[in-house]
Amino acid sequence: MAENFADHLVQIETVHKEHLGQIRHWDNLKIATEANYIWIKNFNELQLASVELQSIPFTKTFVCIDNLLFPKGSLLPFKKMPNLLWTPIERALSIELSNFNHNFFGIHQSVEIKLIPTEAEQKATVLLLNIHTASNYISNASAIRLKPLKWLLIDTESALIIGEPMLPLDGKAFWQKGNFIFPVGLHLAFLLLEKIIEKKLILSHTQLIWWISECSYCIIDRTMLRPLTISSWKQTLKMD
Amino acid sequence: MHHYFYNTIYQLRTKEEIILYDKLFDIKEDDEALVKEFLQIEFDVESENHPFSTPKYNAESALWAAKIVYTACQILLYREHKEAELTDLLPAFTQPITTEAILSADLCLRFLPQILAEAKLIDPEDYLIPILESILNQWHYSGIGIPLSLKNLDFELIFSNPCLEQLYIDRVIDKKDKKRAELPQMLEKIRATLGNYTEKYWNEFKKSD
Repeated sequence: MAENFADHLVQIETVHKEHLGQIRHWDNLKIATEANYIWIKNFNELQLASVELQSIPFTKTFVCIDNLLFPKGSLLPFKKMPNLLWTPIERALSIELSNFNHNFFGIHQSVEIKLIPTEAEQKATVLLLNIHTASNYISNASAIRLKPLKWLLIDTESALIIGEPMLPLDGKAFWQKGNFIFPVGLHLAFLLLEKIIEKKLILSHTQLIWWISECSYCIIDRTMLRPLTISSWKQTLKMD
Repeated sequence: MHHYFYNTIYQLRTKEEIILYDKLFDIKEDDEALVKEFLQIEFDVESENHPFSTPKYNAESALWAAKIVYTACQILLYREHKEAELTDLLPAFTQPITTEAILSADLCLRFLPQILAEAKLIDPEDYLIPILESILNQWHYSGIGIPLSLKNLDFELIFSNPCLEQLYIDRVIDKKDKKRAELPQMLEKIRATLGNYTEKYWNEFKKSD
């Protein structure tokens, strides 16, 4: 005869209640209290045989047949099934969190903000390029290619071009996430701290944090970005 | 001393609207000189944004185009002329058409399609309409975006100059003039400019492929 595991109950004395912590995460279990005992039911086959349950001390396993409780393996009933009020185990066993530790002196510890490599694929939308190599293309480019782009002169050698589709030019590619611009293939080491780091680094939301490399960044104000046009490029670089 | 012609052209170029100050078809010489000079400045500003090297300013064609636009508006508003007189009021450009002339004339001629549309709204059988259409057919860089017959368009001159060629392609894409883009002379050039991003820049063009 196939055993019906739903009939199995486990009994434990209330004083040993804390041992149930290790099976509290089985959310199918129901639990009820009776005088000095706690009853648990709704196990499945795997759970009954598991180390987690077997290793709990002071437990007794019963099988309920026709409203009579038989100790497991016994043919004589132990007593009648009592009337119990069942509740889900996670509701019946509450978790206590330890109090805040006022004597914790580790508050001077800090994390280093840095970038780490990531496997996730990102769409590059920012290009750092050499103005001399880019000049020939941009001064003769079709207006439609330049229209969606904005740019910023970084120094006498390089310019940052933001927007997509990117120009078909050689340069260092970056990807943008919110107010951050990261080199492709890198992201923040602590993603959870993203908003906090952003607040620490910038004063207003018009600013962008441009990570030039894994450990250095530069703040760019969006108002400094100019639409990329042939005239803007030529006049900035003082070309004819 | 009023400079009505200059004022009208100035308004047109700076605010893109036409103001006619008086019913006046004769344009004085000093008024013409002012317009030539003004259009030279406008040309220089615009040419900053041109790819490759810009052709030089051609004052004669710029002035001719300004007069055409000005007179066409006058005719539209104060119609006292017979059909035969209209061709005299809107003469053809007498000098050879060059790339310089095309770009310089475009400063004002680019507004002619709107005047043409206005004329069609008022009276679709107006004698003015075929005259304006033939001007825009000849100076077809300025006529991009409006449905013309597109027959006998001369592309040789346009494509002889890389600057004008790129400007022409840009304007066809900008105005989304699909009919013109599909002309055999244009198709490959338009595709080359759009490259892999046809969907992004001009989705309808892609669909017709």
